[in-house]
Amino acid sequence: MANHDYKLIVSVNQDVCVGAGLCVLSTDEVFDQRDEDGVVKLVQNEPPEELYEKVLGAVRKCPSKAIKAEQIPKENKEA
Amino acid sequence: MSSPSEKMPSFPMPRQCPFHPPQEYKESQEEPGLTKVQMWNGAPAWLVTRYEDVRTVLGDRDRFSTDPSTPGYPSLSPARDAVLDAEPAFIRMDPPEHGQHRRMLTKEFMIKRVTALQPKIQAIFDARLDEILEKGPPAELVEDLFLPLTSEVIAGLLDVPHEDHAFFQEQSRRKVLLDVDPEIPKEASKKILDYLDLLITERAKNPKPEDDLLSRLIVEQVQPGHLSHRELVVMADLLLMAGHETTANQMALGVYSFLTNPDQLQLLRDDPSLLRNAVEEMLRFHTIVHYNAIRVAKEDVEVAGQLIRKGDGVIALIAGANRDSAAFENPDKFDITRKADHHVAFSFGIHQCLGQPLARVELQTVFSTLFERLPNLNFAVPQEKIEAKGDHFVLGLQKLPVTW
Ligand code: HEM
Ligand code: SF4
Repeated sequence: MANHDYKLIVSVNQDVCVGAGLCVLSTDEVFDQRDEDGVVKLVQNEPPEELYEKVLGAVRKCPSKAIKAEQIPKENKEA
Repeated sequence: MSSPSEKMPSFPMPRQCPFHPPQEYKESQEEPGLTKVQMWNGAPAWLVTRYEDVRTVLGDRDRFSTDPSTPGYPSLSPARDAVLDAEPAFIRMDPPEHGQHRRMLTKEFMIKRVTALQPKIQAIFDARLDEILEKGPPAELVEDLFLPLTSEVIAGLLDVPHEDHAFFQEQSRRKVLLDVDPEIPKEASKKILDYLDLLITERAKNPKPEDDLLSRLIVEQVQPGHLSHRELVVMADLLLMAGHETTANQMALGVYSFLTNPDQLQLLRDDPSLLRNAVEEMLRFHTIVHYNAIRVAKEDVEVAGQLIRKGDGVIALIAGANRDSAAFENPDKFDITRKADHHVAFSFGIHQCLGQPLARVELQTVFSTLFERLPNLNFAVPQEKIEAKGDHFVLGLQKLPVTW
């Protein structure tokens, strides 16, 4: 199990999303598309660590740079 | 801009082997900066061949335009210009108009909608394959299986009558020819637009939004005044065109790759979970829409240390990027076990293929079924006789005669 010393906070920019759905294909636990227009929406913004790699892959693959994954340093007491 | 033109290689560059991009792309990747080339009309353009640089250009919506009427937009051939001179669909529009048009369609192609279509696609495929099996070998898979399949899928979405499929297939084929009298693609474009104009005029009298995409656009966009009738005609043309010719060609080339790499076919047979990877790999390896990502700079911009001036043409070679060893190990090998899904076969940036979820599901359907139902599938002629389409706008095979 990968152990990360940061926490990932995901956010999306719905104004620039072009709805190609690559994020959903790569991590449907985190990304979905709005029924009314196919634009990205988040299922959760603090995904569990086992999804970090996939989320970072989605960030890189997103053609319109609509996904941000911020790495917040973890506090020591992290369980 | 001052270097003498004799020194500039011309573009397009012929392929040494029809199944691999020109060797010059690789040489350009190894040299610093960008390669300057000369188009048929003498105009210069910058070639971008490295994966990261291609993503940089295509990802920059503000500084690169895809509008062919912008001065400096590179011209591939007179025949191609004849197509581009027509009214632009959103594939040739810049923001904000591009986004307004594309957003009218994104829900139609979102993952869950397309996934729900899979059983229907499978049924069309199975029915076509049954016919072929009934007739017995040999068969020609492009005309008899792949084009009918992809045409039925996109025509089904738009509700274009079955009896007109042969017509739009033929006109689309003519529209993508690069090296012919410009009258040929021009006339084909006009014929399809006239046809769709009539179809949509009729549809608008009695739209059925629950049934088809054109009806939905009529009710949701044309009637409230967000889109004109003519804009819808042009949009429908793009969908119909982009929706069948491409995917059918990709299927043919995918079969070719498996039959010429039996070890890869065996891997897929032994482990069907490789299907998704295999489809990404055939998209990467062949990069069939190899000349689509053409742009012109809207302002001065630097890429790979090279200053690109406002008005300079830029050709982002997605076929080069997909064979860049910096992004894909041993890139000239067809290897279905590699992770290839970061390829740029569908381009990158805001114009990245809208129909990619559909193309993926169609390809996955074909390659999960074909070799299972035809376990002894093989070429019906010697492999050297299988002819690639040559330097078309969309790569593919002329014919794929097979036996089983
Ligand atoms: C293997 C099949 C396909 C390939 C390789 C492919 C490739 C491409 C490429 C490279 C572009 C971008 C061009 C650019 O950057 O200027 C594109 C755009 C587009 N494709 Fe596809 N395509 C395929 C199938 C489809 C299908 C099935 C549809 C269904 C309707 C479709 C609809 C479109 C549309 C509408 C655009 C314009 C998107 C925009 O400008 O926002 N394509 N395609
Ligand atoms: S990958 Fe990017 S552009 Fe595509 S749906 Fe997801 S957020 Fe939108």
